[in-house]
Amino acid sequence: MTVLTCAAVRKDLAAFYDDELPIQRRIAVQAHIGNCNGCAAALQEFFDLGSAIRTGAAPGPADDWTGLRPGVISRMRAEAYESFTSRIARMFDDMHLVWIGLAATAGTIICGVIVFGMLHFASPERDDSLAAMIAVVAAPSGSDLNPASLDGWIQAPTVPGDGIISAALEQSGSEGDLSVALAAIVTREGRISGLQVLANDRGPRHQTLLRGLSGAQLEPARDGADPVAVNMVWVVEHMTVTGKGKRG
Amino acid sequence: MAEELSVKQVRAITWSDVGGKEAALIQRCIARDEEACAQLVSEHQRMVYQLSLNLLNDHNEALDLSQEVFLRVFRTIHTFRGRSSLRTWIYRIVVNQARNRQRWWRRRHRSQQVSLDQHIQDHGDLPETTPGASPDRLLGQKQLAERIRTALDGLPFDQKTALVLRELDGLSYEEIGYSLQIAVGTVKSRLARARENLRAQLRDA
Repeated sequence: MTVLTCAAVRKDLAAFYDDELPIQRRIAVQAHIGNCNGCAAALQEFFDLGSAIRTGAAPGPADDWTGLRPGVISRMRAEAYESFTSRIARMFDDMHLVWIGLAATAGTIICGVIVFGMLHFASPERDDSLAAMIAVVAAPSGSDLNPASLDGWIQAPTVPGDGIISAALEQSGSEGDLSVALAAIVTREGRISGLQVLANDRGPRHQTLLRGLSGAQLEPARDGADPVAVNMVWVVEHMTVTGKGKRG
Repeated sequence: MAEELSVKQVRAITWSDVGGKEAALIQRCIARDEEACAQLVSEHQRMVYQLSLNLLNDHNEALDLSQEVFLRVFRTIHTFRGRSSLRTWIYRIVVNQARNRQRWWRRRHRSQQVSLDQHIQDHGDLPETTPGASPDRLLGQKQLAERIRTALDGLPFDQKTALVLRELDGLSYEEIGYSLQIAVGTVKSRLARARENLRAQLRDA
């Protein structure tokens, strides 16, 4: 049998007390303790402490304790009743409600499809429709939708000095004289829209002129400091003056 | 007591150890058989309540925690794989729930203190272990128990839990390790520190 020193035994005392030593080691420690008062006293300290802990432990429930069973079971029932699956199952208890719900859902989907189809396939709003006219009347005077008429209070649009419009006029009238009246709307941003020629003669030179002017931008008309959209008639005159040469 | 020789057999716990009866009970609980659940509660309620009470030191808290533990057991029993006994598995849940509750409690009631009268009212009086004992002796026992409770409460939760599982519930190192989710070596060191701290606190008191 192995003979142990006090130091080795002290190291194993806790495991010995807790019944966690292998059998051979346990026998050796047991034998040592039987012959060593110091180690036996140290072991006794473990027993005393264990006894003290058991003394201080909270007392167990009384014999007539009803226990946790009713409370746990009732909470389990409540949890099961309120669970998602139980709720779903209860929804299908009465099939009348299920059919009503399905019919309502199908009706909603069909209505949605019809509305979507109407919105998707309906023709765009026409300018001469009643809705368009109401929108124009409802828009404030001077807005792009409802341009104002030029009067004495409104400063007319002006040609900016960047030369773009002059160049367009030059290009359209370079092969002869040109005199044409144009009707147009000048928006609040100075863009020219709704441009049309007020004459029966609409030759290729007019088309060139219209193309040139439709992309141009003017200084917008102003009512005080605020830009306003206006209807205006624009007379373009392009005249070429040729001098007589001296005959020698 | 120290001279007695006892032999402890240690072996791995498997499903066969859990036992056919307990395995059948678990299977019925998984199937939400109310009768089986009630039986499981009846078999383990004292153990769960007692451990909760020793860890939390409050009767109402322990009752509440015990209910929570069983509800958690039934919610998660399908994950029980028989790597430990059902009892040890339930211990683990009690310890985890108690640890969570104590953290919560410490956060909210750190400054609250309970009078001795309130304490006795909550936990009940000590049972009279010695019939016919003198009043002085009974008073001495009560004071000693109170000192020990106070000293136990002064330990860190993990040390106190290890000590309670070992001394009051008689769990092996392996079972304590499973319950606390720590290695056996850690169990040994934690128990040693707990005993040392408790001795020191009792000496100081």
